[in-house]
Amino acid sequence: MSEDLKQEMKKLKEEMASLKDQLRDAGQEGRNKRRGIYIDFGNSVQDYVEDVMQGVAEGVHGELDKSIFIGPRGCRIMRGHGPWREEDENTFDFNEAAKAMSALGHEHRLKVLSSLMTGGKYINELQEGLSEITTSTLSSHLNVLEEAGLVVQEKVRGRYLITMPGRTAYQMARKVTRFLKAGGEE
Amino acid sequence: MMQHYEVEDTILRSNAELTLTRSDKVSLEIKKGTLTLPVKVADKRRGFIFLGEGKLLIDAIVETERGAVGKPVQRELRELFLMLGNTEETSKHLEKASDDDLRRNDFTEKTLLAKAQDLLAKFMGKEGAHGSEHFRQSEGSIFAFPNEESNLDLLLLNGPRLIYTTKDMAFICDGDKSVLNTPRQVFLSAQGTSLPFGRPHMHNGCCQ
Repeated sequence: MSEDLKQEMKKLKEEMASLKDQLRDAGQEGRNKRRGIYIDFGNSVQDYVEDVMQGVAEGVHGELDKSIFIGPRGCRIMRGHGPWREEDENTFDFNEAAKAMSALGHEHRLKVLSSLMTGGKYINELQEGLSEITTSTLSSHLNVLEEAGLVVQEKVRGRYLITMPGRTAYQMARKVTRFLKAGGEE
Repeated sequence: MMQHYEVEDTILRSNAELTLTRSDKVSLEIKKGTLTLPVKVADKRRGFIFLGEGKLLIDAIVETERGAVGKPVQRELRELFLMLGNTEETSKHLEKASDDDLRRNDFTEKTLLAKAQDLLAKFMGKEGAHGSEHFRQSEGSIFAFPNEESNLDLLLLNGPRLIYTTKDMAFICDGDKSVLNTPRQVFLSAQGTSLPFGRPHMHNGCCQ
């Protein structure tokens, strides 16, 4: 191969490399263009965005403060706790709540609820687990639970069933007891 | 083809306390002395209209893994109500009513018949358009009870299947599958697993 031809080949290679670079730059520019339009709004917009971001960050921080409890036994995430609102307190039915809590406030009634957690039962089946009380006492406990809406009695078959509020109330009673036993640290 | 329903003009009375239907979820009883008017469909006795003291119990309760929802319906029946279905067993305990029976209920033969025809017409107004032919061949029963808004609450029974509709609720039960539609929520339950959701605008089936 002559020296001239070698020179020519070298030039062509350099041109090709240059063209490739140009093509790459053009492609990059195209992609950048497709991503959006860049407009400079100046500092005021930037400040506004920063303010919003700071507000969001403060909100998240506040929520984390409310929902993460750090105690001597570690860290616990409290789920489902919304912010304590005064308007909720104004609409809270204290009388209804007292009735439900009062219905829970007896060992035998709690035992009845515990028994019903596994399914509906007839009064004689409930009586088997509560041999220390008479059927009439059991009946009056069931009436209290029914009146508070924690238990419902079928009118055709006569079985007693625990209601959704009854189940929640019983689980709440268990939770509170566990919490108290643990010295309020659960 | 639409069937022709009519009230027979023979007024009967029950000579014993009768249980018109009874299952795990529903019970309907009438007292001895209940006035009874047979209802004919294509010249065959297909039901009755009753007037007297009766008691309807429906456990409109859905059992879910999160507790029971709903409540039992307990209703004293003192107004006329309609039953369509098997008439054989009931017919065995009916005898001709006397004038005294009518007087005790503050009715004459004419006024009672007119009231029974009104009830049947009201029922047919709703049911006649789409259900009569199907019902004629069905093995189940239909009950219609006038409610306070002068509409009809309906109870449909067929084997383990039950549908009860009132102005405020609809309860459907088929073995361990139930639906309870209340003004606030709808609960679906199948084999103990439940799916509660906010109440959409559902037709509750109550006769207008």
